[in-house]
Amino acid sequence: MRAIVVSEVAMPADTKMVTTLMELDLLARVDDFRFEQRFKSRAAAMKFLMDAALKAGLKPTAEDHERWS
Amino acid sequence: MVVSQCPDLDDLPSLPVMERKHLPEVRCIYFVLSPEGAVLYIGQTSNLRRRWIAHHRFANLADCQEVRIVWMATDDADIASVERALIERYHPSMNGAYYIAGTVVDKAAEPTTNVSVNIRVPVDLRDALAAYARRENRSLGGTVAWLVKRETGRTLAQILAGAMEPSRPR
Repeated sequence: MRAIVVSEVAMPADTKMVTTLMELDLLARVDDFRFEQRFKSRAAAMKFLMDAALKAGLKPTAEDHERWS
Repeated sequence: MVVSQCPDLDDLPSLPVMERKHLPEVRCIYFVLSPEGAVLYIGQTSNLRRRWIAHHRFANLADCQEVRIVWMATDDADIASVERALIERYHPSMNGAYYIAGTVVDKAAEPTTNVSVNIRVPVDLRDALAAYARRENRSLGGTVAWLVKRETGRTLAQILAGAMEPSRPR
């Protein structure tokens, strides 16, 4: 399997690094979202999306769990 | 609109990409044409000028004076179907390519190619993500990818409606 490494650089002290594997298709959608909504970086867009998902209380379905396993 | 009614691109309004600041603010299907007239890309937008002020997919085209943007204003409610039909008709070379920060990463890459992404997040968000992952008995990385995938499947309006007091880092 090919893998492409993409890093976001941001160094505030009260932050922690999170590493994830994403499909290229999903990363392209994140970039589209970032530019359409004028976020200053991909990291900012992803933080917004993660924050919104947690606040919305999204719950994985049984199908999601199956795909994860 | 049906595929058999493909527009004659010569009859449609157009501007060189260098003059994109003068594009009209119209809802439309747009075509990106090479200097030779080949269709490079087809897209849709609710506002052509705004779309092109910062079109990340074409960072490399922005300085090419001879590339033209052709547009076809439309009120068609199903603009996405029209776009798909035109893409099937013209097979633009740049549709389907993957762009990371404005650069083609791999034209032949499969959509499912895995990409490793490292981001720094505030400690409280990281802790919330870790708690969520523990609750669902999943890895932190897998949880992050799943949450982002779910959210990108929704419109911004849906996201904002579902999230209480979303803090938007700009």
